[in-house]
Amino acid sequence: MKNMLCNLTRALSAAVLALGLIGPAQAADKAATKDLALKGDAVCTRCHDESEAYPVLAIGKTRHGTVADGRTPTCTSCHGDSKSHVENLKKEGQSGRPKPDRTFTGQLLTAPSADVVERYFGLAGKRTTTPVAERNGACIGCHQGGKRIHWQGSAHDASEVACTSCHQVHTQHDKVRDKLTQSEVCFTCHKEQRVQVSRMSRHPIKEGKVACTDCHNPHGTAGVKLLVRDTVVDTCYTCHMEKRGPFVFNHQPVTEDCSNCHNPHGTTNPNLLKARAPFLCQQCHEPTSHRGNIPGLLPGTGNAAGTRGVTQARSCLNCHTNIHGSNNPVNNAESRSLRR
Amino acid sequence: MKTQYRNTAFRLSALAGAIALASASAWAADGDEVADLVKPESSIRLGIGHLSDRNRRFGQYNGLSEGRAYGLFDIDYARREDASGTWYRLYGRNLGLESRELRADVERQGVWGAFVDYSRILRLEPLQVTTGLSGIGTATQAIGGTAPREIDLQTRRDRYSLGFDKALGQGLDLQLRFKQEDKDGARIFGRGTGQFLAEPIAGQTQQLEAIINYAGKQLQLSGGYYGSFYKNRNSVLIATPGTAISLAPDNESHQLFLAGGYNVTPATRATFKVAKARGTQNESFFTSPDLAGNVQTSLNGRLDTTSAQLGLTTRPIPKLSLSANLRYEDREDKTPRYQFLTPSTGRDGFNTPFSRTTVNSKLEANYQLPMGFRLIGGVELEQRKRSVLSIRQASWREQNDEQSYRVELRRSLSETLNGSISLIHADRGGSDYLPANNNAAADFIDPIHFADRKRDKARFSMDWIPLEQLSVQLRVDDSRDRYAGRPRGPDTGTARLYALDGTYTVSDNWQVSAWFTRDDTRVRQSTLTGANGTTVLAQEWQSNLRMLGDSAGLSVRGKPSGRLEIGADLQFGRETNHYGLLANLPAAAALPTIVTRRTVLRVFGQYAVQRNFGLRLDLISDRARTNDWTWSDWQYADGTRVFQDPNTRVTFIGVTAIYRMR
Repeated sequence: MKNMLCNLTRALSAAVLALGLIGPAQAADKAATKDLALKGDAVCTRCHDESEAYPVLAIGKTRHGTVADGRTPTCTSCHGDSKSHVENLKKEGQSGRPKPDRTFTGQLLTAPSADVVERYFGLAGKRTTTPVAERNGACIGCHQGGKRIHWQGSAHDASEVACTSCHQVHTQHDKVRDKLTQSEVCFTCHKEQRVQVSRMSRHPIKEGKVACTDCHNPHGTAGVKLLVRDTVVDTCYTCHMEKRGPFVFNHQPVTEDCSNCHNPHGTTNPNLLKARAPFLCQQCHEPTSHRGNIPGLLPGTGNAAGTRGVTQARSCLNCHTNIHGSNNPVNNAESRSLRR
Repeated sequence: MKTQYRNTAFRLSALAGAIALASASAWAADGDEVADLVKPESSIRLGIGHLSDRNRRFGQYNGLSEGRAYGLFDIDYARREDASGTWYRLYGRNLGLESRELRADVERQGVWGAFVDYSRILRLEPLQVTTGLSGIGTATQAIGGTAPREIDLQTRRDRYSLGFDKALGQGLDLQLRFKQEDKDGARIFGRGTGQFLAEPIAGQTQQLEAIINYAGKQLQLSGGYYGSFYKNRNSVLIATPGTAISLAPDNESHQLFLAGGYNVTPATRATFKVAKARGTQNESFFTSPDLAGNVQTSLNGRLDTTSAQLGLTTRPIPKLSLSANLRYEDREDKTPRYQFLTPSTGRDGFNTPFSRTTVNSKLEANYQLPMGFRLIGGVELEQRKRSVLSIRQASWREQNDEQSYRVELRRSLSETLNGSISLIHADRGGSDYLPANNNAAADFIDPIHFADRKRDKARFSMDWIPLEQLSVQLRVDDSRDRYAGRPRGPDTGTARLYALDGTYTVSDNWQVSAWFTRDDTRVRQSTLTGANGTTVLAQEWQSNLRMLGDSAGLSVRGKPSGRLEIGADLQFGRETNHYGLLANLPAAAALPTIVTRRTVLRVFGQYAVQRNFGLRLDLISDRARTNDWTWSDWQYADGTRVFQDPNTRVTFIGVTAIYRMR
């Protein structure tokens, strides 16, 4: 019933406005109603109510809607006082109600969505001309500490990525904060990684077992490539600590940067290797002994040139099993060569 | 295309959201709609699914690998006591599968919070092994210890996390995190081409983090302790007959850090981070060192790391912003050097600690031009210094220096057309090479991560909305590497990416999207091969490695009625690996091009039976084909064979009921 009355009121108001029978200020002067989702939201929710196409009230389901937490915002905390919008103060020649002081847009989604929030903010949704810095300023005003300390000057900040390019504020389930769907948001821009995570050798990203944010802090870090532990090796060690050593015999590229040999997003070679052995190994190792031997499919399981032994199964790693390092204090020929 | 990356075990929240959407329209006049829209909602999904055939590639990580029925059970419970702001959450996903995860949270928002979390990551080895190796899964194995039989290898990570947060007042808060992961199982290993082995995985990692954050209007600080610990229940693999293989040693690391940011003015901000870490490795050797007189019982490994970062961003005038960043890292391997092994030609028998120091500095300017354009320019310098060992297995470089220059033109405030074009040039050089002095006569190659390199990259991206219903994204990357130095080793490399995405909104109820991506990566390198009798002659040879990937997707979503929603996603991928050998080889030795294709079709239909109850049907068809020769006709000397199914097809069907509550 309430909904019907509201719709009827709005329809009548629109009709009256269209006929020019009353001024815009009068049309906006609806009776004040109680707050619906946030503290002091009545000025907005008297119009933006449950009949909105975009579920604006769903912010009540989120942490922002926890009014008992004195830090939580109201609509105007993010969108600005928006006096011209509230009172419909048009500039000369302007058609339609002025927009709020700050408007936000979602990411440029490139897939159809079952989610009404994405439908509204996605491809066919609204865009905004509010500068990114101003949009982000609304968020940073409260969210500048902790893991966001290094936002300013970070790769995403420098690329003018808005917080709302990734985050959905008016919904209980923010896709980018769900490990299963997070990568879909990241792939909106990171197209190369979109195909790499579907390759035969990959991390379980599609299954939501590894998320982009397990390795990267998109809000900025003190280190390289927005990595959570500031260096490549330290980030990889959070899950692959067995590679850390130090060993009796270390493999230098391993100690320096895992991505010398691996592409963590996915490859067509086993174990996320950037190239198949022996080609990968031959990018560093000089052709003494068998090291420069040409791979081939001739019979033979030794390390002779042109044979299966240097080519198939695990190739160089057939013998050099402990390629990340050996802690073996015996057997010179074997341990120094990372075989035992 | 986002929906194509969804799990085969379906996502509850998306379903619940869709049901909510259906409910809103189908029963718009019912109940308290405002409360429905502002109160946290919960949902439960229960159902059954069936996989048509055994397929360990399809089920590699999701737990759906055997041809049988599976229970599908997810829960997403959220309740908030509005008066106190206290949340109670219970989140479970894939609870009917082995890839299950469960998390419980209690939080009085803004005051304190705690959570406990469990997650299992399963990794099935898709390759089928037939072997007579016994003792698989243990550290004592016997080659030919049993009659050959088919075995499945897998690893399993069970992760437990605990967390506690407390607001301390005055802008301070405390964060405590503890994470333990137990990893068990076995994976393909070996001792030469003669003996297949299975590496026993029995490790445990623990991570402990205690952080105190301060957030003020001008100053923010974050400091604390991060400790990480690795324990391996097996220090050595005894596989008989043959010599023992050492396994990953226990190790640990402790780090203290402090990071901060300071808003000098509304337009200027400074950031920093300093950290000091110590890593140790004192695993007892499984046997005494070779060298007589060396009584070391462990390596006594120690790695000290000192790192620091300083950053400054400022907007001196409204149209110009500047940022500067300086990063320093010193990793000093303080492990004492001892002679463990009896020296031999080219080997001194000492352990091999590596240290390095990296200094990186970056400066960038961003200037606003008319019509929404911005011009960005940047320069980055990096210097890396490494310690030197007297015996080197490959060419060595004590220092690398790299300079990068970037210029970009960007437009980002248009309502219909945004995009950017950027150019990057990087030049890497360094100190003189130190020879691989255990192989000085054949020291012909500059290692790829040390080598002089010129890199040129161009990147173009565009977001265009030509019609209200149509949106298009285009992205083109082109990167070229040229390696200088000696004629053997890496020579050139290229990487190209073309990505085109489009979405068309047919009506309020129907949307279609499609995408295509091509990535093309090439490396040209050369080396020298030894002779293999008279079959293969000693010669210089070259490889032209190329990985060409074509991927495409098509998605449709529709809502034929207020209660029914349907959708379909089709994804196709083809990866082609060329080897391009330029060598004098018999035809029988040639490496065929490897082509791998994968086609995945996902279809769903969802019907809202009642306001808070719905049914969903999901169908997934997955087909993969490959001519990968990695294991074809391969046999270990011990008789072990490894098989990869070149052509797999599997279908999964699932029916689920979703109940939503508030």
